[in-house]
Amino acid sequence: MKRKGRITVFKTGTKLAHVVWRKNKSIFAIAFFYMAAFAMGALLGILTPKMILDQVMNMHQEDIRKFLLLAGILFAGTALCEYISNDLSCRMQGKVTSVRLECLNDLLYKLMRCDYRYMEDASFWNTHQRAIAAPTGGETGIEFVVKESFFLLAEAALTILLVCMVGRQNFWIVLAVFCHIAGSLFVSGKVQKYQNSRAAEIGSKVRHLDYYKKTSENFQYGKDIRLYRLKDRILYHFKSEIVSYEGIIGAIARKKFLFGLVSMVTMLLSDCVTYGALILSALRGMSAANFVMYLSTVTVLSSMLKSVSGRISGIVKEGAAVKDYFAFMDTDFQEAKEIRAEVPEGAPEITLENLGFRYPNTDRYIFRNINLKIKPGESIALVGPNGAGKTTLIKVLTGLFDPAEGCVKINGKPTEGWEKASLYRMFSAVFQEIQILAFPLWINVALDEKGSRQRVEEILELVGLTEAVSGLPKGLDQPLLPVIEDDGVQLSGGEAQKVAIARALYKGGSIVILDEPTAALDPLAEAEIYEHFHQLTEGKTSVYISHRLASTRFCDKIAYFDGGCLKEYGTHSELMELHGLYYAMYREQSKYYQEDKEEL
Amino acid sequence: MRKIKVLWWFLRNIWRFSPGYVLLLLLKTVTNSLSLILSSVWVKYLLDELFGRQRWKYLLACGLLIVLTNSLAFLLERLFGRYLEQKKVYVNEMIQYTLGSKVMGDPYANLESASYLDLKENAVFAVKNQDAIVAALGGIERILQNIVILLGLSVVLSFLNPVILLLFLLMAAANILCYLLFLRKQLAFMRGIIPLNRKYGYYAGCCMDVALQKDIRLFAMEDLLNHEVSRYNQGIKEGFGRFYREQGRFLGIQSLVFNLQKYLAYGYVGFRVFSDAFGPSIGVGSFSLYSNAIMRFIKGATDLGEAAVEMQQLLEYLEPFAGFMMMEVQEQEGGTDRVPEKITNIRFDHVSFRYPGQETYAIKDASFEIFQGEKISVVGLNGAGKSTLVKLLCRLYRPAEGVISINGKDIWEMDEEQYRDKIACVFQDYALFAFSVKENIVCNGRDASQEELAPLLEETDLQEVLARLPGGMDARLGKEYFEDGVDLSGGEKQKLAIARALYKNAELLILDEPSSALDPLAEARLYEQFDGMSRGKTVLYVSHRMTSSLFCDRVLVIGHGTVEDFDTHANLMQKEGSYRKLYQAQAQYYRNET
Repeated sequence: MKRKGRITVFKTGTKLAHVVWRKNKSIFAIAFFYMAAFAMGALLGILTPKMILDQVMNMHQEDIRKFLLLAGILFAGTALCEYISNDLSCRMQGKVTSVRLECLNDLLYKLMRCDYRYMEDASFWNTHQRAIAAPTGGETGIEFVVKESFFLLAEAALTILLVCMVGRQNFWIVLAVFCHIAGSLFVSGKVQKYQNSRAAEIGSKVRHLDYYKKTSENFQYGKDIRLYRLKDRILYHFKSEIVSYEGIIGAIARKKFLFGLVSMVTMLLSDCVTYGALILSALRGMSAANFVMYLSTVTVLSSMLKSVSGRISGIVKEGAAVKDYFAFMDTDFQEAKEIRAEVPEGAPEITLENLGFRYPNTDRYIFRNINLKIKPGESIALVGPNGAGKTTLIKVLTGLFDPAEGCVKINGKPTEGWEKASLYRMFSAVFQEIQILAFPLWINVALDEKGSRQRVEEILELVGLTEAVSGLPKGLDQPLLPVIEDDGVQLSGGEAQKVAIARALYKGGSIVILDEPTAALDPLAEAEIYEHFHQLTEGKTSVYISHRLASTRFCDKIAYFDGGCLKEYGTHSELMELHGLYYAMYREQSKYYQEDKEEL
Repeated sequence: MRKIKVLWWFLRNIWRFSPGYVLLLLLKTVTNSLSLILSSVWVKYLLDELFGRQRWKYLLACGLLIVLTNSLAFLLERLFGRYLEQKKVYVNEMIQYTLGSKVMGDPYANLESASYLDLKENAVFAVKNQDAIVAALGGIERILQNIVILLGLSVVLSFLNPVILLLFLLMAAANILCYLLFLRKQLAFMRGIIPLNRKYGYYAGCCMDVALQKDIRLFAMEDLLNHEVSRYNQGIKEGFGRFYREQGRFLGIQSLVFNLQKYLAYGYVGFRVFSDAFGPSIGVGSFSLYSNAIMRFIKGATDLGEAAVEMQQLLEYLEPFAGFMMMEVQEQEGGTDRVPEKITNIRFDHVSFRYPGQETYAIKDASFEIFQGEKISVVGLNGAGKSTLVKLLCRLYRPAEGVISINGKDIWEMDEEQYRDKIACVFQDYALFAFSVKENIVCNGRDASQEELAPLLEETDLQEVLARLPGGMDARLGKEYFEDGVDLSGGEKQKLAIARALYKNAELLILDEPSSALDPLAEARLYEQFDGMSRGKTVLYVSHRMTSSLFCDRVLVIGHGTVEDFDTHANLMQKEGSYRKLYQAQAQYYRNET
């Protein structure tokens, strides 16, 4: 198990090195020169007091020039090395940030091309969440691992030099220092383990605290908090979460302290050996200068070892995130489909044959045994209570989801093997939630920067937005949403809905899908939108979902869904004569209006 | 506000929540610097003895002193650190707790005022995104630590030469100045990168937005979005590249200056070994002691300066927080008169109101009167002022002009809490809380038993929902935040909000768009049960679905912030008003029924 872990660390490491090499080769050259400058600078720093002491202890007044020369040379050497190493390490950081951001881009682009079925799969998003952690932060994941490896290389080189230096003088000191570091590592490993064992608790406490912070600060809750006098209850829960969070942190701190006693003992031993050995050497004739030098060499060695081991464990830890990133990037989330869809001339015929769907890894069918034929140019309304599976049916119809059983046929040909992008091209869809994006108005319609402005203009005329557009200071180029540009305009619900219709018109797909497109609008805006529907559906095959039965009754056919089954099918008048479920629902909705009619 | 004031506010709060934190911090810094100085003094004596008379006993004593001092210092630092770590968390959380407490206690009208909102947003931003409180706690520790160390080292160095002390202090000032310049550059860079980052974040967020994925595929938007992401990404990359090159130059120069100081120190102390031109010559031990002390002194002074500069920055971040906490909110003066037991009538008398900072009136000259037990439907287009009317009636805002009265008495003359107890409201954007279902219903009331609540649950259709939840009434809401939390659907939540309002058993019941999340069948059921639920109370029913008007006694038509009409449905249909027009718009499709 452990061995296996190591192999993946190694694999992830080589993979990352490969990616860095591909994206920016100069980082490797910088790493090499940095290593040289860093080690040189550190050595000069250690040698300085020794050389100065050597010089001054056996010197006469007249040698002052020599002394100054020596100090000057040492200064120049150290300063140069340190300048270079600082400069190089910063350059490296800029380049690593670039590499990391490019990795993030790669991931985002891949995400948008994954098959849609993953988009509604919570476990996919968990995988994605873990994968995106690696290229997201400057102090985590990819950037962290590359930077730390960079520094690790240089420090490891220096450490080897120092071990040789001290070891030649006295091997026991090296051993003692290693023991102390091993002791500290053992301790921090234990503490880390304990911390990990409580990490889930901490995570959940932090989330709880977040909730109370958000809730108490959030103005949206203000009305209810006041009207129902909830302040004290919230504060009571808030405070008790703080106390228990503090308790967990305290327990970890206590463990840290207790384990720390072990490293105190190893430190005591290592200090004893170091001072003891050096004192003995001095008694045997080591010079004062050397004594001082070795003392500081041991200090530097000890801190280097600590730093090196810290970096290694950091790299291993963050390497896990990098591994998740590569795992995501290497998985194929886009099933290869060979057949290019034939874009039909004019309105196509759609046939649903024994169509059934359930989410992967679930048993419950959302709908099943659906048989339905929509003739070319026909419009059909899907109605029924919430949760009947209407929206899911649309997703299967458009190919966003693949059917679990049965098939969807367009002009008699099953769509399942078709390449998604070419299948999607057939549909023009308007959904309830209009996704207005922070782009100029005309791009919001064309959804393509190379689109035709003229066509957009014609279509806006068609949907009745021309007047509204001419009222905007920048007309067609008016940025929408105040997110990117400060003068970004927020459209009203009705206008946004018209933009969505314009989008569908611009796309000109031969099948039109309307999924509750007016649910969020007030009655006047709703009525206005209805007027534009015929423009959308003219000469197209169309599918319309709505709760407002008044608006769906003009469709050629109506299909009533309940509990994942097609219950009733026919024209409005046919279904009304049937006196079934559709009839009941229609009466329910229209009864107030009907009563009213009688009154009049 | 002056930074000193912010600092003072901050320190006072630390002391308030944990005096122990402050005391331990002082203890820790003193032991740290004491051990630092003592161990270098012991090394000096060791060196002097070792390269002097080499007496066994003295060597042993010095060696032991060094080793023991280090160990003891290690022990004490960890011991103090242990408690500091814990208390730091507590102080940080408690300061945020006070903010929440303040927001919930301030008069509601502030909550929609732009200046209050902005200040709060800034306050929360600094704490959440910049972790300003924790950073400031760390900053204070660092400053204190350096001050104590510098004081200790000054004592040591004054034995060598008090003048040289001053000289090195000046040099440290040069370092700090250098740092300050760089920090300003860094700040300018960060400021420049923020808008770029925000834009990048927006498009990157679009790529990951679950709700957008359908559209991305059906409209083949991946290249459009990727293009924007790459564009801003390029900008950020170039910005960072420039910034890091500049940082490299700065760090290089800083190390140059630092090395210069270091070698001057070595030069001076070395000179003192072989010459007595500047004072009595010193030995090997003193060379080591003083050169180390000077090095540490420069480092400490530089670090102190940097810490102070950073602290200043942090105080700037904390300023909105302190400012918000010290902000004197405008108290809406209310009276303390008793609220009448029975509400016989509610009257709006030429009421006008506009939101703080807004030019136009949300409500303009509205007058109407409602009597006990009446059911009133309030209709109007989106943005007509229906919800504002509700808020005014709940006494969340005070009218700019005119009077709202019950039984002929201005509601603002009455005791606030007593008045609110008379009203139950399901707001359009009602909020439920991550408590148990029961707590959400009873709110601040006493604990209610299952039996007591049963009829209410039955009435609101919640019984079957609860049967599904693990723990029933004790199931906690808020799955997002609590592991044991449950999620309710929009319709279920709405039912719970209605149950809460009914449980309050208040004289006046207000329902603002209560059926928006329900499907037509559930909506119809709500309408049917509506009469029973309201139990003869006075009811205001806000909706933009005209059907609600039919089971209400009268319809209040709101348009452009004022009362356009107030009459029964039948009468309104006779008039050529906006009500008729609205009604027709919805009814037309049902009209031509064959």
